[in-house]
Amino acid sequence: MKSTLIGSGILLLGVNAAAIYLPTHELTIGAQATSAALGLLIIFFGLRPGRRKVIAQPPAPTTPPPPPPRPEAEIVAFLALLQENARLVDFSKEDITAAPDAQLGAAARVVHSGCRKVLAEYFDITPIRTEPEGTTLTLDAGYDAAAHRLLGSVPTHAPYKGKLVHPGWIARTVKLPRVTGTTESRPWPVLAPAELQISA
Amino acid sequence: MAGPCTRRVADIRVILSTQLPSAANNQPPAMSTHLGLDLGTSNCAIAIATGTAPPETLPVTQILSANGIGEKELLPSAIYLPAPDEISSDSPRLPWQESPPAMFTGSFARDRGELQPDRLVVSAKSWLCHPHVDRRGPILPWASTSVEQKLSPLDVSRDLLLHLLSSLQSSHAGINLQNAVLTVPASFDEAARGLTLEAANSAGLSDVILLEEPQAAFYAWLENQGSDWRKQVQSGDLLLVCDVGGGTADFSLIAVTGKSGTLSLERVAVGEHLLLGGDNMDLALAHDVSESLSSSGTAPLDEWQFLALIQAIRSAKESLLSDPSLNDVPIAIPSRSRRLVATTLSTTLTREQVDRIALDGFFPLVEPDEMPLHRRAGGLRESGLPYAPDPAISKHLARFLFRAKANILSSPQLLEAIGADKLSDPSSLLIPDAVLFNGGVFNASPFRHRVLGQLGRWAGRTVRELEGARPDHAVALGAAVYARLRATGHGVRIKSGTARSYYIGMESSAMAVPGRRPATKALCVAPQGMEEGTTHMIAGQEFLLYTGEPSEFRFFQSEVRAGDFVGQILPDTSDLEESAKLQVEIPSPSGHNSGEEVPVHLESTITELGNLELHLAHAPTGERWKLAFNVRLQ
Repeated sequence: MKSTLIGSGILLLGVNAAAIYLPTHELTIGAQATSAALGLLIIFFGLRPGRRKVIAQPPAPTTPPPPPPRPEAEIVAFLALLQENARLVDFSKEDITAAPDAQLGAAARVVHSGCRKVLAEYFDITPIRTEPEGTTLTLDAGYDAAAHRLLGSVPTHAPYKGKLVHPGWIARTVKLPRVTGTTESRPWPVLAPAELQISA
Repeated sequence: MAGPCTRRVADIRVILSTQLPSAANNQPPAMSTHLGLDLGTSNCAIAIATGTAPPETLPVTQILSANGIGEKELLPSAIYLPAPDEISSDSPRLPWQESPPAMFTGSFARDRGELQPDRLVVSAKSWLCHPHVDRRGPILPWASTSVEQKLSPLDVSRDLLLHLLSSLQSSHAGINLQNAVLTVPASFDEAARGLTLEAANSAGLSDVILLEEPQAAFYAWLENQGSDWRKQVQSGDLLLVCDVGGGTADFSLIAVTGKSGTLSLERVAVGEHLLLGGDNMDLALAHDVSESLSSSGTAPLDEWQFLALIQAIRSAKESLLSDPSLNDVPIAIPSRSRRLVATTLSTTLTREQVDRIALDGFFPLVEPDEMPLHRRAGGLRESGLPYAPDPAISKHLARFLFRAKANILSSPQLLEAIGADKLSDPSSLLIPDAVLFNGGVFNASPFRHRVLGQLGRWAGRTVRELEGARPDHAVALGAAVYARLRATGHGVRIKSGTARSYYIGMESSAMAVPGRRPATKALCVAPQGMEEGTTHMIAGQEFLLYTGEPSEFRFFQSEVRAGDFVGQILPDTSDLEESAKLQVEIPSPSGHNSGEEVPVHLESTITELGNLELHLAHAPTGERWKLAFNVRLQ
């Protein structure tokens, strides 16, 4: 590959030089300059140290270590967890336009209890503020701005005084399962495998 | 959901120690650690006690789903054996596994196996104490027609222990496995205990010590109470440990004796093995709800909907039991179709159903002489686990307390320890003064109140609850406490010894009568309460041992004959329960012909590990033979 590139560059330059010294063909200066520049460029790229060549490894005798999962894999795996426990993908993908509220309510129980279980199992979620909603609070300068959102007309400087509308949530700990079994061809897990009932 | 606060604190610690496996966490612990292992019927757990700190449970690394591994406090005692073609190279595997395993243990196994019941092994521990099956033979999953390579109950116990230990060693490299304590039900007989020890040995625990689960729960309570425990009990008290888990119920009585200030504890009675627990309640409620659904015109539930129903019932039941203001809880039963909204069925679980089925069905208020049914009405029964035919736990409790009274009356020693006034009670039952509850069922206060109410009714006085029980993790925690106690010698120890009396069958010496085999007498080789590390020589008695040809040995046991002594001969075996039978050929000692009877002396030993061994010694040649009690019943 590399030598072909260099060879074709030299050839192009040679043809170019021949055109200058053997003016049998009528070539414009512009075309000559262009082809010369092109030849130099080809040689330059050809000689430039390329990326390290990958030598094909002989297949390992044992199972190769699984490739580290991509960041998307963690997210898809969590979505799969919500599908498995709370049927979240089923619920979101279903057309509920005409479904009566009673039927929707029954499904919502399945989704709710499953989501609740998953949240309780993998996170420790607590409110950011312990005061009840409606309490008037004062935030002094240097308050945790990421954990508080100010609504309405906000003066330039703290202290900010306002009524608590939502106490916020924070995950104090996160202990998500570690994803296994991803491959080159399947970089993230399936959300829900297709199911087949085998009859006896 | 007892004590979310403590649980949260524990979780934070857990994340630090296992989710970030840094070098610091992999160093051998500087302080001495003591290990407790709870190999439960439904769930397993590990706890350690480090230095003098309170014991704590350690999360177990396991496969959680087809896509992920993680840590959980409990390892479900489930093994799933997938079809070989179901496993691919990207199937989940644990950090210590080189390739995807041929079988899975824990959470994933339980959840996946539920959808393939023919390939799921659960309750293997109950098979381990089932005397009528080959407990070393590949019989599990029981009655499975699709699994080719089945497992023995012994294999399952070993594999669950191996999983626990691999997880422990990957988070705590170099941890001391010496003198770990492994719990068994108090109702396990010597054979089941021996098999448990064997499983532990083959999992790499060479010198494990067995502890009865109700005692472990009691040790956890003692540890939790600190020195305050003496304020809750007094000399002369009789304490019931009432342990009802997912699939089993286990009772023990502990007597408090001694003078004030130096109280001592002795376990004086253990119950029979009962396959009855919280899972039975969920199943009974699910059947009731499913029947009322189909009587209202809904199509019968398929097996997957029924599984979803049981899960929904479990949490609805817990809501009703923990919140007295609720009268009913709506239940949603999803199908497996992706059309969730269109196919989910809706029904309710009412307080009336929970009261009638869970409370009055399993804990009915009964008279002291109402004993549980011994067998179902059917003449022919499908082979399987010997589930308790009578679901009334109150009746099983009555039977336990009745037998406990008989047991104590048989032993002058126990009678003196407990005090004669306890037994002068006209009641046929031995009623405890206080109860320590253990097992998931007793997280719900209505069940605790019902048991206390029932005992109070039988006794005609108030029976109190020992405060501060932790029904979910007490067994593993108590095992770690006991491991530390044994190593350091600090702490209160429950005097226990063997839970039953053990006997060996002996052919009586009688004149030959045509058509009649000589009667079998029973020789007591280990009385109830015989302590670990003791040996009894049956002095002054010689027995004749048949050698050189196969002969049969029969073993018996009793929970109600605490008063028997080593060497005592019972004229017949009608009072006893046959636990094992062994066909064996004992080689003739040198200088004797095969088929010859040689005189031997008997010596019984309870090893330091709590295993019963019987030695037959032939004095003239100095030869000895050992018969272990963990033999199988043919």
